[in-house]
Amino acid sequence: MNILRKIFSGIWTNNPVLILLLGFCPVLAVSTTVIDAIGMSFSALFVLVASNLVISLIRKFTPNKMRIPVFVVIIGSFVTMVDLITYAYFSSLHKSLGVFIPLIVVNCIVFGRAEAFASKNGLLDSLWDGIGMGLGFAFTIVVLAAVREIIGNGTFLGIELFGKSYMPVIIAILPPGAFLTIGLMLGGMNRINIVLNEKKKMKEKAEKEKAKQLKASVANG
Amino acid sequence: MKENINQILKLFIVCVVAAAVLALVYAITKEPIEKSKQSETLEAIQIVVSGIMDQMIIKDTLIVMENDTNNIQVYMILNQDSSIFAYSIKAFTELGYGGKIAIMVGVDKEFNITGLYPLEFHETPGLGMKMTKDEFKNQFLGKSLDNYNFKVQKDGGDIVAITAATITSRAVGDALNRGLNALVFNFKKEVIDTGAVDTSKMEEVK
Repeated sequence: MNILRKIFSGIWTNNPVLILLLGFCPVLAVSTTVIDAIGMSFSALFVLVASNLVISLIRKFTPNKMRIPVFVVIIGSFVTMVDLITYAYFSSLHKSLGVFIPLIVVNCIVFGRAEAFASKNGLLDSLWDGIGMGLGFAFTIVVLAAVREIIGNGTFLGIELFGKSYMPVIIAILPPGAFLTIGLMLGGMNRINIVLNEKKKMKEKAEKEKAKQLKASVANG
Repeated sequence: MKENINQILKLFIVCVVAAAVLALVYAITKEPIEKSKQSETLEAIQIVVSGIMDQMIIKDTLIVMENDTNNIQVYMILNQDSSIFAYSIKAFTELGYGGKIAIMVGVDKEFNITGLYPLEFHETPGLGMKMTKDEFKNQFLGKSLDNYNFKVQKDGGDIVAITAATITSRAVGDALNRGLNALVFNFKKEVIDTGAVDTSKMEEVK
């Protein structure tokens, strides 16, 4: 239950992109098609989990003032390793993922989680944090890519949805479309959270009043 | 002072360990990467030229282009009696949106394109990356320098450009144009001179 809550925190309540506002570069750049978004998500998820683990493992050894260069070295090494290993043993996967792997270096979610979480928490917690954050990133980028691909290209996962007569709204797959869509997603996310919070408050208020009434009736009786 | 030295030492250790791990991974993966690169070339040739048989010989020659940084690699696919079955050109351009684009181009012995296979490219995912899709590639099938203008329609040519990726489409046209020109210039000089396909002289080309 606790583990699920930690992973859910990465996907929703602490979503790296929509709440922490990290990692916009890859999210905006690699969300033109769903397939690309999935590829990016998986490679980022792997690097995120691996770097979180190693950084958490050596967190007591790392001098506080030297932590940033240490993180850079570790994350860079993992990205290079992923690049080499996929090229050597999964060359067809590397062909479709090739462009995204170097992009992970500039994914500041990896760096942000190393700095904010893994360097202060234990191995297992960092593992769950990495998985949760990775999934949160994946969730955001895949939804964004789905919206952009469906509107801007009339396809989903390369399958045509509306037939030949549909005129795609090109702006959605161009860079401005990414900004527009992510803006709407941020707004929607905030709205949902505000509504949820209000409901929670109303519920608490109602419960308090109930308790008050109960008290009053007991006192009267 | 002591603290500083301690920090430097620790960072040094981290770097050494990272370098060692990377060196190890590099050493292990070096050979498989070479192999997959080679087999990729062979696979690409088999994709762009259909009907290659096991007995056929693939011979590669390098065409050195003047005023050009990239040499164009031509693979001749020879029948058993060493007559030409088809060609495969590894064509380059530097004009891609993300820099270099390398495409394997299959060409039959009448110098018509039989297939394209992108080998190396750094185009924008979802836009320029569509150069790998059949809808774009198939428009070149059966085309040659004689019946096709390898420029995008915007520039007065015949290529139907990818939406929102004119630069990529233009670059592919450039690569094909230079690749085909190099091939024709080196393997069929007569065509350039007379301006017509002269099949009777094919014998001399081999």
